[in-house]
Amino acid sequence: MSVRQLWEGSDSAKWLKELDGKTKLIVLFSFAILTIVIDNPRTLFILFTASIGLHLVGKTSLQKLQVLALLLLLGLWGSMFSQALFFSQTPRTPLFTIISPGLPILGTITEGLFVYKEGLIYGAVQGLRSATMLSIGLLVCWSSDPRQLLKALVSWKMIPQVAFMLVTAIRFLPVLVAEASEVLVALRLRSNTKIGRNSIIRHLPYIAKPLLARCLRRAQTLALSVVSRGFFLDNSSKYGYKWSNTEKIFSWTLILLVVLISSFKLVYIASEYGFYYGDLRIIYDWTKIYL
Amino acid sequence: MNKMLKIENLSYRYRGRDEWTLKNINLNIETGEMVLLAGRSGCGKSTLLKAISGLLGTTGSGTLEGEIFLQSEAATSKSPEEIGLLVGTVYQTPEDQLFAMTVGDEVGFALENQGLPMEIIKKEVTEVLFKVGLEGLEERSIHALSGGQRQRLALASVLITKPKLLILDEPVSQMNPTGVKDFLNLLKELNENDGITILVVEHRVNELASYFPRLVGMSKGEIVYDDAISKAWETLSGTRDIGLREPQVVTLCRELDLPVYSPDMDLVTTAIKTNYTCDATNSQQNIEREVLLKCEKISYKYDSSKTYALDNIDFNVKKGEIVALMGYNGAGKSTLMNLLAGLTETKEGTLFLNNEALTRNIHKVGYLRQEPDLMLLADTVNEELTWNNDAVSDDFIDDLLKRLKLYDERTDFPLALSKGQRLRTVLGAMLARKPELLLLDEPTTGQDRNSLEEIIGLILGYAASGGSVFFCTHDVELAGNIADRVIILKDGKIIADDAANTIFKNKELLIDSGLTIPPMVLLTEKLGIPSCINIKEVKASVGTSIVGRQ
Repeated sequence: MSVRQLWEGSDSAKWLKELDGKTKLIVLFSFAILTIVIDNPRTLFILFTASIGLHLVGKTSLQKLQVLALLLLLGLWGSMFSQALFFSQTPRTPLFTIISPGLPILGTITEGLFVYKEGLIYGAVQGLRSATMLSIGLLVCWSSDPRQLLKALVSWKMIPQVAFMLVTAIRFLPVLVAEASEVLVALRLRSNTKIGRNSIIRHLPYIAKPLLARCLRRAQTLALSVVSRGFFLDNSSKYGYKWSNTEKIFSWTLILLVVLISSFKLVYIASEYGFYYGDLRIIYDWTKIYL
Repeated sequence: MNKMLKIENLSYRYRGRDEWTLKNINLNIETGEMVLLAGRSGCGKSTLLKAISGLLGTTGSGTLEGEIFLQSEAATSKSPEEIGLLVGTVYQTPEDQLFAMTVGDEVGFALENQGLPMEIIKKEVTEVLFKVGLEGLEERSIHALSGGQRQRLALASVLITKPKLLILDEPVSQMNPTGVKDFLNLLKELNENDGITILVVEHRVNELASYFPRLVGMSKGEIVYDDAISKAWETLSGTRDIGLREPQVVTLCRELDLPVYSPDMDLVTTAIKTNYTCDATNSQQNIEREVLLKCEKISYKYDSSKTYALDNIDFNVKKGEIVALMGYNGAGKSTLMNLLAGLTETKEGTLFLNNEALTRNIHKVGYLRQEPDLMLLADTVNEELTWNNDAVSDDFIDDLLKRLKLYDERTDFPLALSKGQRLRTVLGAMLARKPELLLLDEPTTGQDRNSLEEIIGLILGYAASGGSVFFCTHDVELAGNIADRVIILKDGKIIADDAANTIFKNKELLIDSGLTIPPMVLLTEKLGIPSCINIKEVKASVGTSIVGRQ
C-alpha cells in the first residue's frame, strides 16, 4: 500500500462508504460534543472503544489501523506523561519521584519533579478526548468521498465557498501526505553526504516551504476547475437527493441522545452552583457516576 | 462561419504590478477551429486563458480592459460558472483539478452542480467516458489511473457539459510520444464529430503542428503571430521571442539556409537536393572512455508486486558519456533511477561507482527529479546553490550562476522564478556539488525552446568537463541531439543498449518501444544518404559540397 493509498478513502466497507454524508457528519459532531461533555474516564474510554469498534466493523484496512494505533498511542502517551509531570492543580498525589527537591542544583532549580496520580488521570481524560476525535475523524476521512460531505454541507445551507474549503482538506489529505514524502525524497537528494542521503529527520525542518508552495498551486487549480464546472452556481435544486429513512431515524436518535446527555450535564453543573432540585436526584447521581 | 470567440483590445494588469501582463490582445476564433497558442513561459498565455474562462476576477482583482465575446455575447456579463458551461478548461496537471474519488463521480460533478437527476447524470457519464476511451471505469479510484488516463478523465469531466469551446493548457507535456498521438487524435475526433472549437496551449509545437491549421504566438503579453501554422516557420524561424519549439525539419531548413521553411519532408528533400550535393559516407566516432557506473544483474521487485519491475539489468555508464534511458511509462525507468540515486536499496545485483560500491559513493551522484519545485527550499537562488555545501568557493558559485543564466536573479526567491529558471536553479544546486554522475528525470518537460536550449547547453558543458549524465526521456529529438548512447527498457528488461545513432535508425525497435522515429532519419532516407539522427549529422553529410552557395 502506497503512502497515498494509506490516506485514501477507498477500501472501507461498502455500507460505510455509502452512508450519507449527513449521517457521517452527525456521528462526527455527536462524538465531538460527547467528548467535551463527558469527564468520566471510564465513559470516555467506552466512547473511544466505540470509535475503534466502528473502524473494525467498517473494515478499515490493517495498514490504516497501524497508522491509527501509532497516532493514538503517541497522543495518549504524550498527554498522560506531560500532565503527570506538570500537573499543577491540587490535591495532587506523587506516585514516585524523578528529581528529589533535596538533590543539589537540579533539585533546587526544579523544586523536585514528581509523577502525579491526578495528573496521569487528567492526562488520560484529555488524551482520550483527542484520541476519540482523531479516531472518528479518520474514520470519516477514510470512508468518505469529498463530494459526499460537500453535498451534506451544502444541503444544510452552508455557504458553498466555506463548504468547499472544508472538504478540500479531505480531498488533499492523501495528496498532501504523498507529497510530503516526495518532498522528503527531494530534500534527501539535496544532501551531499552519505548519511544525509538516507536521513529523513534532518530534512524535516525544510519540508514546509516546498510543500506549501505546491499546495497553494494545487489548491488554486482545483478552485478554478470547480468554479468553471459550475460548483458555485446558484441552483436551489442542486444536490436534491433522498436521505434514507433508516439513516434519518438513526441520526435523530443520536442527536436526541447527545442533547439528553448534555442536558443532564448542565443540570448537574447547575446543582453545583446551588440550583438543586430534589426530584432530579436520580439525574445528579447518574451524571456523577457515568458522565 | 460563426464567431466562437472574439477578443477586442484586451489588457490585464495584476494588482500590485506595474507591467501589464496582457497588452491590447485582439483575437477571433471561428466555431469549429483548432488553434494552437504558443509562447515563452510567463508571456501571458495562462492569464489569457483565465480571461477567456472568466476567472480573472476570482484570482485577485487586477485591472481588466477590453472585451471578450463568446458566441457574440459579452463574457463580462456572465459569471465564471455560466462561462464554464460554454467553455471547458483542462489544466496542465490533471490530478490537481480532479475532485472526487471515483471516475464516475468526477465526470458527473458538473452535472450534479446543475441539479440534474441521477439517472440522466449516469447516462451522460457513460457516454462521455466512452467518447474519451475510459468506458467501464466508472467505479475506478482516480488515483489508480495512469497519467494519460487522468488527462482523459480531466477532459471527460469538462466534456460532460457539452462545451462549445475547449481550452487545454499544456495537455501533453508529460506524455510519451504514443500517448501524445492518441490524445491529439481524440481531440481531432471531438473537433470533427462534435464540432467543438479547440484552443490548445503547448510548447511542443513540433509534435502538434500537423493537427492544428492555425497558430497564435504570444510574446511579452502581446500576440505577435496569428496565421496559418504552415506560414509560421518562415515568419518566426530563428526568432526566440515566442520560444517556439519548431519541427526539426524546419530548424534544418534554417541551419542550411534553404529557400523553404517547411516541415514537409518532400519539399525540404527537393530543396536540399537542389542546393546541396549529398555525401554518401557517414563517419562515426568511437571514443574510448573509462567506466564510471557499473550495473551488474540488477533485479528489483516491489513488495506489493508479483512481477519484477527490473529484471536482470546489466549496463555501464562511462566517464563523460551522456546516456538516455527510454521506454514506455511503467517500463521500470523510475525504479532504476531511484536505485542509482540510492533512494531504493538494491536487493539483487550490484552497483559500482568508480569500482567501489555505489552506496559508499552515493553523495557523488546528483539526481534531478521530474518536479524540481519540490527541491527548492532556500530564500534566494544563491542560497540554493550553497545550501549545505561549504566546499564551494564564491567565485565558483558566481561562475556557475552566469553559466546558468541566473546571475541577475541570484537574490530572487526561487519559487517566484519562471519554470525554466526554477529548473536551472535546482540543476545548479546539483552542479555546485560537482557530482560525478548526474541523473536527470525528464529534464525538459514543459520547457519552452529557449529554456530547452539553455538546459541542453548546461548538460553538454557538464559532460564536456568529464561528468557523466544518465537521463530519462520520452523526447526522441532531445535524445538524438545529445545522447551518446541509448538504453531502452521494456517490462523491466533492457531490450536495446547501443550508440544513439544505431538505436534511432532501428524503426521497428522504436515503434515497439512506443517511441517516434526521429524526423532526420526519415529525411535522410528520402535524401538517399546514410541515416542521420540529428541536424548536426545531416549538416555534416550535406554540407560538404555546396552547389552554388558559398
